[in-house]
Amino acid sequence: MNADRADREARETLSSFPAFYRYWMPRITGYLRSQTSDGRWVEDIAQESMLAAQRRWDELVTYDKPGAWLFRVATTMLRRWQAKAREQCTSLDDMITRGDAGLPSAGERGTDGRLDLMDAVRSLPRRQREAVALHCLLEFPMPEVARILGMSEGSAKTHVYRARRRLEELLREPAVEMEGRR
Amino acid sequence: MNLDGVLAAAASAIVRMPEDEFAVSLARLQEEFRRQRYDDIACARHAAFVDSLELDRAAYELGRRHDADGNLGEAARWYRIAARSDHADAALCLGRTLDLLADRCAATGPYSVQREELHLITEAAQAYAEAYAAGYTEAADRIDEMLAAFTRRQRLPGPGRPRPEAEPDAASCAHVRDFVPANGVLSDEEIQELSRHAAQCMSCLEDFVDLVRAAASAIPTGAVADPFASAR
Repeated sequence: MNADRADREARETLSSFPAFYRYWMPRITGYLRSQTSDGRWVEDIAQESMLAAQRRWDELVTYDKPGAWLFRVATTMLRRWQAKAREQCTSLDDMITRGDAGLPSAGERGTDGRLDLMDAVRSLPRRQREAVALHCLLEFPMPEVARILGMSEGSAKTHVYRARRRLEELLREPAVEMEGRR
Repeated sequence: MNLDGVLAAAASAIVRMPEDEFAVSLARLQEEFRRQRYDDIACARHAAFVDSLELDRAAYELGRRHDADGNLGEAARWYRIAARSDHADAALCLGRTLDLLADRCAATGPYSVQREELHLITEAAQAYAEAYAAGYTEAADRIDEMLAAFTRRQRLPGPGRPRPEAEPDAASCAHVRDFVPANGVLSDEEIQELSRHAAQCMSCLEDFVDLVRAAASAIPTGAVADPFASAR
């Protein structure tokens, strides 16, 4: 999508909260699903982020990049919840459900043994999956990705590069070959 | 389909997601919004969360500022807070700062700081491991370098630093001196064993050199007379 057009569309969403919701909710849902396989977390974080936007609506309409603000709220919330879960994690099942799961087993993959894109993204290290989802799935420009993730642009680029390289490997090779390498 | 094609297809699917697949419906969101407006605790909790969004970033920036000023103790304190919320590369910065602190502590410290050094190394290794898991692959090299430097420091004699356990006490070791070869002759295996030990023990090294010299002097040199020559 053309960056100018995306910018214009995003600005138009500020005409009302329902318009903002309709534009950003599929994006925030897709982003969160690429970060965790826990459906409850996806629902809760999407809801809390949107509620935060609605509460700050008067302030939000004055922002240059309201979408970036929304994604920063969601990313911060997800990082905190995952950090807390890692601290409290006592079983491997919990870890697998929360998303830091590594690769799905051969039985959970498609008939050709290849990984689904979302599974592959979820198997990446945290910073890489955040950066690649924001830049390659949601088409945020690199400076905005860096701002959302709280890092330098160079760092964000490195994470996207590493993530893409790993995704290429994961999506190219069938399950048996990958499991042999683990 | 190549990676760009796969990503573009996924991006398009996200943008075109039907409303019934959204994580939360607009009706549910509005209902929750109305409910929270009359719930003071929920309101306060929500406001506190939004206000706290800047705290992780602020802690990280404070860490960086102290780091730049060379105040490593304060830098570690603020990086630790930022790393607890998994902010950016705070875990990597925390690991590096603790690594430097351990190095500095070892360079200046007496007996009492050795425990502190070990504690710093352990925490730094944990921080590096966390950073590695988050996607900072360079953290693995940093752990290696830190542990190698720590091992080197442990081998250096210094005030209050005990000698490594494997190293025998130089003053009292008599391993080579007391060694009695079987049949009075040193075998190859015995020489190798003694030289390995001597390489790590200064006092035995001297004994080993003496032993080798003595063995060498016992070997006859020059032309050797044939004892059976006159019998022929």
